[in-house]
Amino acid sequence: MIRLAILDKAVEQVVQHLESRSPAEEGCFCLLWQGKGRQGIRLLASRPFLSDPRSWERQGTDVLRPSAQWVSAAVSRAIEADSGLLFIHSHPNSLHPPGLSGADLFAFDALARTLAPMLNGPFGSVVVHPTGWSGMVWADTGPLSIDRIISVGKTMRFLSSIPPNNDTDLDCRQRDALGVVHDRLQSLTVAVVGCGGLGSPIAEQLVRMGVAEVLLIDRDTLDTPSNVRRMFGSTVHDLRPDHPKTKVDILADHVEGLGFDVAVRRVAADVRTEAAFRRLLDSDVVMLATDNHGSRAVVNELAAVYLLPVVDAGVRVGAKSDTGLSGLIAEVRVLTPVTPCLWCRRTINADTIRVENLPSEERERLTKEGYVVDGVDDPVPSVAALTVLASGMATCALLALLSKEGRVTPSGYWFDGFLGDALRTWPEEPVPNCRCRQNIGHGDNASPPFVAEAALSG
Amino acid sequence: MTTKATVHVFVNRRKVELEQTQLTGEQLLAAAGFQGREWDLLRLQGEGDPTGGTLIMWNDTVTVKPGDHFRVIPGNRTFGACAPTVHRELAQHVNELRAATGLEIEILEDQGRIFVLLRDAPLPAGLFRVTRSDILFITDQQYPLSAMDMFWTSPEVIRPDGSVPQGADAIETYVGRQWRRFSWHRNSIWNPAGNPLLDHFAFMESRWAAEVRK
Repeated sequence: MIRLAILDKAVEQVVQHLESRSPAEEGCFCLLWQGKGRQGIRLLASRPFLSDPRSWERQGTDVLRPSAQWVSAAVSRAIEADSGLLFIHSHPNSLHPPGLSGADLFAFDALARTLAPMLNGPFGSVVVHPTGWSGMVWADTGPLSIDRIISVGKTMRFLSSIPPNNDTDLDCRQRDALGVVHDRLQSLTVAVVGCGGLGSPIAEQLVRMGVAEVLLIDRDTLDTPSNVRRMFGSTVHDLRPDHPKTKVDILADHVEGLGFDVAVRRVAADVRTEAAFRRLLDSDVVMLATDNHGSRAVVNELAAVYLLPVVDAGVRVGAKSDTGLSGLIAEVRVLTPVTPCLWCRRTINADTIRVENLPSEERERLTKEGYVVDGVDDPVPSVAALTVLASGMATCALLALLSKEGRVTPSGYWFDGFLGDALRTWPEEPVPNCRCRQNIGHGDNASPPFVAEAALSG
Repeated sequence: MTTKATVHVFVNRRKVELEQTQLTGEQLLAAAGFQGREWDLLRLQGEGDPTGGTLIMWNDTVTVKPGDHFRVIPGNRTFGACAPTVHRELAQHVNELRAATGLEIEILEDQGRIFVLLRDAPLPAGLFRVTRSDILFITDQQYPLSAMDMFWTSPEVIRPDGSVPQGADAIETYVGRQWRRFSWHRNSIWNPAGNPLLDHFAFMESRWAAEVRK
């Protein structure tokens, strides 16, 4: 699938610009980057280059001819930004074709053949029509249709039309509850990173709610008995010390066994490797349910660099020895290009990542020397009641992400399952000098540092 | 005055070796592999030139220096929602004609008329003074329900002895260029099924073949 994600601020600017000349056609360029998934491409558009009246040699209700100089200026801008280009123009009349017309296709073909070899990124063309957006991108072999166009800000908006659902009796109450969000949800591919106590109930909810596809990613095997108390789909019979099963297989078998029409993909790999990371680029949303800082740091990059929303879930148990419970904290953070990332929120730590990556002997030695706090890899205290609470909050955050109402929900909050307190988390806005502000939407031009497979097996 | 020298410039970020430091826009385009005149050529102040550069006309004389940067933008860049159903079918037929002939073909539009431009098409050997010409077919937004008639070539297409081919004395202007109209007409009925564009091309070729046999 080829997806195009556009920053919502850019969408607002573009729409306002296109509507300003209606009923005449109007257009603009955006810079375009990409992230290559395993199966598809995630195109990333931002920074509109709006036209002025001198930009057009011809402009009318059904014609739009850019001047060579303006096209060339857009190319210059893309070269400076080390990006590709996306030409967006309107078909303001609802009787006009909702996609590229024959004339559009020919102009796109001619421009792409000449401009694409000059650019350091993809070349695409999008039509904005009253019924939705649609477009094409140039590949080596010719033009390819863009399957889905979304706007990403605090929420996700579908700009291209969603194919109609074939609702069954299974869906009536959910449709009544969610309305149009039901349709959006059912068209999604959702990745779940971490298939343990948090990820497994998230995956089951996603399958029960009927998303189109679930991608399960986890390299771990079920080798710790205490996991069985929290991991959905696992049983004590799955504990086989000699031949431990992967968590991905246990969970996938379980959710497939529910009998819903949802595709389940299994990736028993470390998300810090490039191969596993690129699988995420074929999804619409990522649910992050791992407590490893290194993994979370890599997935964290998706939100800003790849304009791919991430819902991060976590738990904290406020128990100290035998003095009793002080809290059962479930936390959810919605990471998008306009919300604070995990670095902004200080929920991941570079020193912890360093320690996670130390060879075990060196870590033991440094721990003895007092340079490293013990317990980085130790299992985090947890309880099923809390992981289920956090997973439910995370999937509700996903629903908010798909709705306009999501704009007024906090992008980060926690709920104390013990005392019943809820709290918005600090900060509300990204930290200006944070890493996440540096390469918004630059995709593979700013891909995260990956861990080599060889380093993991070694 | 032309100075003999070897100089390299960049056209669309590719290095192009030139043997002249003074040449026309058309010559520079040709040296960079862009045939014909359906291109816009711009001189840049570096690849990141925010102005987009300065236009050079095809017959302008350009003096180049080593390392100069130029950019070529295709002339076929007319977007628009007009005549969608016509265009979709015409696009398909043009693709088939392109595949059958290997020619570079463009669809152009002007004031509701649609022009199918075949670039640098070969002409029958010995029939005309030139061996190749752009060819123009004209249709409208109701193609293929609306039939094509006649065809147009560049004005240089005349007989080897300098005479004008029969029925080809009219010079007309379309899409910003002059064309010689061959007022030659089909004998068969236009069939809107299949690919009538291929049929029209075949008609032109068969008429030329008949001229050669005369």
